[in-house]
Amino acid sequence: MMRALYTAASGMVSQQYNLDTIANNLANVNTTGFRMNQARFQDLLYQTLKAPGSPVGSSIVPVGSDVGLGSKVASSEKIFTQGSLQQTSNPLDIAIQGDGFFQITLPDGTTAYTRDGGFKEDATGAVVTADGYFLSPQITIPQNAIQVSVGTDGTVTALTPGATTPTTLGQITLVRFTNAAGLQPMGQNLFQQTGASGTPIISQPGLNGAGTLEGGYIEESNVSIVNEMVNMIVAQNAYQANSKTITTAENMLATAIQTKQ
Amino acid sequence: MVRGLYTAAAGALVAQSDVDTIANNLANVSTAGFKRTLMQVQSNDTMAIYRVQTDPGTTPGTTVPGKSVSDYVGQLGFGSHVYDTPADFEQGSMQQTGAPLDLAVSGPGFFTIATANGIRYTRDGNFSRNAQGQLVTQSGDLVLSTNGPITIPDGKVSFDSTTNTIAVTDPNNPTGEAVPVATLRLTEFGNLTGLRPEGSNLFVDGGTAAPVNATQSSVTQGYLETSNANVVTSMVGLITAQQWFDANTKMIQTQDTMNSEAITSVGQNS
Repeated sequence: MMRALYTAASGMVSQQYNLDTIANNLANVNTTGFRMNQARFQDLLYQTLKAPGSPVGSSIVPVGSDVGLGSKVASSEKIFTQGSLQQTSNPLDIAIQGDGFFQITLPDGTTAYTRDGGFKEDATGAVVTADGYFLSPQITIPQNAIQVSVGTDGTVTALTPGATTPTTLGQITLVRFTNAAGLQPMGQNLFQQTGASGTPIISQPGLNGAGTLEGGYIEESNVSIVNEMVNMIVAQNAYQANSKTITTAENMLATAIQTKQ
Repeated sequence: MVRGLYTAAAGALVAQSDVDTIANNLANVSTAGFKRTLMQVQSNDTMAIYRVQTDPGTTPGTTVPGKSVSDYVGQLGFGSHVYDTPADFEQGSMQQTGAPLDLAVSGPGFFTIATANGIRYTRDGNFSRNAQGQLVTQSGDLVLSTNGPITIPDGKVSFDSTTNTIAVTDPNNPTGEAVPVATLRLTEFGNLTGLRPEGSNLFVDGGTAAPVNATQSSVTQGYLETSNANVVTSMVGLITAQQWFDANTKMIQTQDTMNSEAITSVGQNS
């Protein structure tokens, strides 16, 4: 009985984690460049009551019996499907259509990666994220630029007064990973490289499988509200089912205790 | 009377194991590729019961004092025990995820996985690439093809269900043909009861499962097989197990009361 109690408790903890993940997805439905999480589960070890092949009298037991001990959270997978593009009027809003991440230089010198292309100009004209971190390779827009545009291949051009053709300011490069799901989310829409993600593969947008850039658009989150609603219903039902197991085990334990008057 | 107590206790213990099994099934309702366990119960060995009485003698109506005979009455059972906990390998339903490395098997086959403890089998097709580009499970174990571990080069992954082959499109040539990389190694078993669950969504061949190369299974890309744990049958099983347990504990109580009666009333000095 005590075993069933702990098994059901592990099931409830798993469903709790499932619901926490779904809650985070729904909270970030409007976050630019957010990638949704999906909780994945595995069953726990099995306790052998009788091992198959063990001798019984003069014969060998052909099958054994074992009982499982519940479930555990195996991983919380980041799903990297494309979000839809939303048109804005800001020329520095860049959306990636396809694979790839922007490179961001953090204040401590390390590189972080993001899908959030909502860039701004700081006081000196450098292209920065909403938190003020520099885009890498760094691009600076001259103070007197009238119009800035970003090409699909990542070339940033600006039209200055008096010039007939736009001047090229720089080239935005994208980075891809062997296992993007292995990146560590840092918050602030940033990801960090880990041992599981592989080394970054830098390429120009449109080449080597990297996606193209769209200026004037931002990429929305890839959370599907319908899927999350269905997942919530499933998580709640599974949670209730496991709590019923606990109630049953508890009643049986109480009955066993009351046997002796 | 003590004999009856232990018989009833055996029944109650089996009901307890039933609840443990159902609890594990319900805890794994969301685990991809999980196969529910059933419980098989067998009755314990029986004992021959004899009636011992004073020898009735050869002439009816007379008895032979001081002599007794025993007559065979019949067999008395001694409860039950859990015989086996086989896994029910019924096909789970398919959940669409859209991820290119999520694979689901329809049919009796299993993915073949190389772990540190040997070859294992799984139905959980939630695979990803590790940092070296090899196809691995969520625990980091290598998925095997007909030629050993699978290394997937950079590019868009596609899957051919007719030949169970993984193919990759070169990212420098996105409109070109997909190049086949490896053929998945799927295993079917002649004797499924020899396949035991090990935990972490893996099954281990206990030696009697008779693995063969799969011929009746196909794999679909972008789907995951959900757990085949059925909440409705589990709920009914819980109700049944509880009734079973209550009936047996009531029996224990009755035996106990009869014992007390014998001790207090029959043995009373009056």
